[in-house]
Amino acid sequence: MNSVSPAILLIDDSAQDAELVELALGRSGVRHQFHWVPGVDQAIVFLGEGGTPRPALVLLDIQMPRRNGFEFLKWVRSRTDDLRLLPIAMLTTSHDSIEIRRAYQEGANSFLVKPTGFEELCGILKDAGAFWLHRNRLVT
Amino acid sequence: MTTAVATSERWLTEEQFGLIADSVLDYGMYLLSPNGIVETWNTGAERLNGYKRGEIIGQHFSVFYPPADKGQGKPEKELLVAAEEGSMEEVGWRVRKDGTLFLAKNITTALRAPDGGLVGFVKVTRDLSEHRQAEEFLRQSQESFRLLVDSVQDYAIFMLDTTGRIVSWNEGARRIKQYSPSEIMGQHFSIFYPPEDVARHKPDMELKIAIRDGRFEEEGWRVRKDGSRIWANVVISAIYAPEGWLLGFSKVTRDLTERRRVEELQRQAHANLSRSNQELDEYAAFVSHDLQEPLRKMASYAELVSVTQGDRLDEKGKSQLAVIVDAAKRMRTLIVELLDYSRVGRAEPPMTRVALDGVVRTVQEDLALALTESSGTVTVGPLPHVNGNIERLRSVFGNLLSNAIKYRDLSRPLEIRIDAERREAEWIIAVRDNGIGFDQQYVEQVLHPFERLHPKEKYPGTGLGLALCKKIITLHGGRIWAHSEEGEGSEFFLSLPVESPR
Repeated sequence: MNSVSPAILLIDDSAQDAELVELALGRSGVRHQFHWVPGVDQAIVFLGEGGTPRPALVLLDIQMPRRNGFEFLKWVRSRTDDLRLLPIAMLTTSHDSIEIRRAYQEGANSFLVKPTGFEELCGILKDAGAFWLHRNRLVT
Repeated sequence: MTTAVATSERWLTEEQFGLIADSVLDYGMYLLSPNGIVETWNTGAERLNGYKRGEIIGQHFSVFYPPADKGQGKPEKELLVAAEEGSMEEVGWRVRKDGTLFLAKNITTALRAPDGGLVGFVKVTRDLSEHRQAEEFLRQSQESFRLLVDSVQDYAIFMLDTTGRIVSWNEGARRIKQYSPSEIMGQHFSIFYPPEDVARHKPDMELKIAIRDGRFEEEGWRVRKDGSRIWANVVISAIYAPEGWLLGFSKVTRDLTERRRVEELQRQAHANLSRSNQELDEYAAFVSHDLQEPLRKMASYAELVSVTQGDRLDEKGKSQLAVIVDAAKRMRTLIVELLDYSRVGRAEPPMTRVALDGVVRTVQEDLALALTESSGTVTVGPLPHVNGNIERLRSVFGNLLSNAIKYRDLSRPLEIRIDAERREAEWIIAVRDNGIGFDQQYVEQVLHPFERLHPKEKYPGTGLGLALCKKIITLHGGRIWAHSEEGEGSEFFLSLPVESPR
C-alpha cells in the first residue's frame, strides 16, 4: 500500500500553472506522484493507458483550448467502467457561481480556485492533497 | 235587445259573447245596433276609450270620432261599407273620453241573421300609438346609428352584400382605404387584398368562415387605393335577417400600421439590448479570466522567487518583490469587485424567502478570523425574514462587517451591533460600530462607486464595497443611508420591504 505514492493528474493548458502546481505540491510535504497533461484529449489518452496507476485525484482546469473542463467531466462521468468514479477537483481562475454550480452538476467532487500568490497555492494543495490522496478512500 | 253572434255553425248568445270579449284586455270589442248604438262594452274598450260600461251603452258610436270626421259623416259611411262588404278595416284617429286622440286600427263586421237581415255590427279596436312610437323610435335610432357609423374616423365600417360587394361606406373607410363612396360602392371587397391573397381566394375564405362561425377576425396586410399597404385588424361578421336568411356582412377594419411599426422598433431595441447585454457578459467573462490570469502569474512567480531564491536576496530585494505581489493582488481584487458590481442587476437570480439572521451568521463565520484578530464582538438582535437573494444579501452584510473591521478604532475593542425595527411596510436594519467613523458631510461619497475617504496604503480597498451594497439594496426595493461622526463610530441603515403575505 505504501510502496507506490498516490498519483495526481493535472489537466491544464498552462505550462506555467503546471510548474506552479508541481512546485507547490513539492513543498507541501504530501507524498504523491505528479502527472500533467495540457488538454482533455491528452488526458483521455493518459487515462486510457491501463498501465499507469489510476490517479487518486484529478485537478481540472475549465478554460482550455479545443475541449474545456466540462467536456472532460462529461466524458468521464458517462463511462461505464470504474473510471467514471474518479475523484475530480476543479482548479480554475473562475469563481463564478454559475460555473461552480455547473461543475457540480457535471459531476465534479470539489471546486478549488487558483489563488493570487504562490504561498496560498501551497496551502490549498497541501490541504487538498492531504485529504484526497491520504484520507479519502477509493474504490479498489 | 236580443242580439246573437253567428259563428260558422252556431249562434253565440250576447252573454257568451260578453264573456269572451271581457277576457280580451288589449282590444276594444263591442256590439253596435244596425244604426250605430253601442250595445255591449268590454274591459278592453273601457281601457282604450276611457268610458265605463254604464256611461256608453245606448250612445251612438260616433262619440269616438274626432269632430272633423263626425262632420263628414265618416262613422255612418263606415257602417254602410261594412254592411255592404261584410266587414271593413280602417286605421284612424279616435277620441278618448278625456278628449285625447289615439291612433286605432278598427275592424267593423256586419252581423246578419240566418234570413240575411242586418242585426248589428261587431267592432274590434286596437291602439296603434305605442306601436307607432316604437317604430318611430326604431327609425330614429337607426338613423342616428347610421350617422354615428358614418362619422367614425378611426375605423372603416361598411357592409357587404352576400356576394362580398360593398353596399355602405363610412368616413373611416374613406380615410383608411382612400376610396370615396362613389368609387367603391358595388365593388367586390377583394380590392383591399394584396394580389397574392386574392390568388389564394382569401377574401372568399373569410366570408365562408364568417358564415360558418358567425365571425372572422385577423390581422394582416391590406392594400389602399394608392397601392400602399397597411397592417390592419379586420373583423367580418355575418348579418342575418330575423327570419334567418343571410343579409350580408359587416366589416370593421382598424389601421394598426403605426402600432406595428412601434412594436417592430421595440422588438429591435430589445434585440439590440439583449445583444449588447450578451456582449457585456462576454466582456465580463473575458475580464474575469484573461485579465486576471497574467496578474495571478505575476504574483505567484514573484512569490515563488522570494520563496525559492529568497536566500540570495537582501531585505530590500525581498520587500521590492513583495510590492509586486501586493500590487498584483490589489489589482486582481479590483477586477473581481468591478466585475461583481457590473454583474449585479443583470440576470438577477430569483428572489426567495431569506432569513436575515442566517445571512448574518454565515457572514460572521466567513469573517471569524478577522473578527478574532481585531478582538471584535458582534451583537445581533432579532432579524426578520425578507424577500431577497441570499447571495446578494450576504454580500451586503459581508461588506458592512468588513468595513466595520477595517475602519475600527485601534484604541478600543471593536463592537458591532445589528438590529432590525419595523416601520410600517419596511424593515429598517441598522449596523452600528464604534470605529473611526467619518464626517457626516462625506456621507454621499461613501456610498458612491470608487470614492474613498481614506488613503489606500492605510486602508486597502477598491471603493466599490458600499456602492455594491447600495446597488443590491436598491434592487431589493430598499434604500441605504448612513450616519456618522468622526471618532464616534458609524451607523449604516438598510430598508427592505416587509414580505408580502402569500
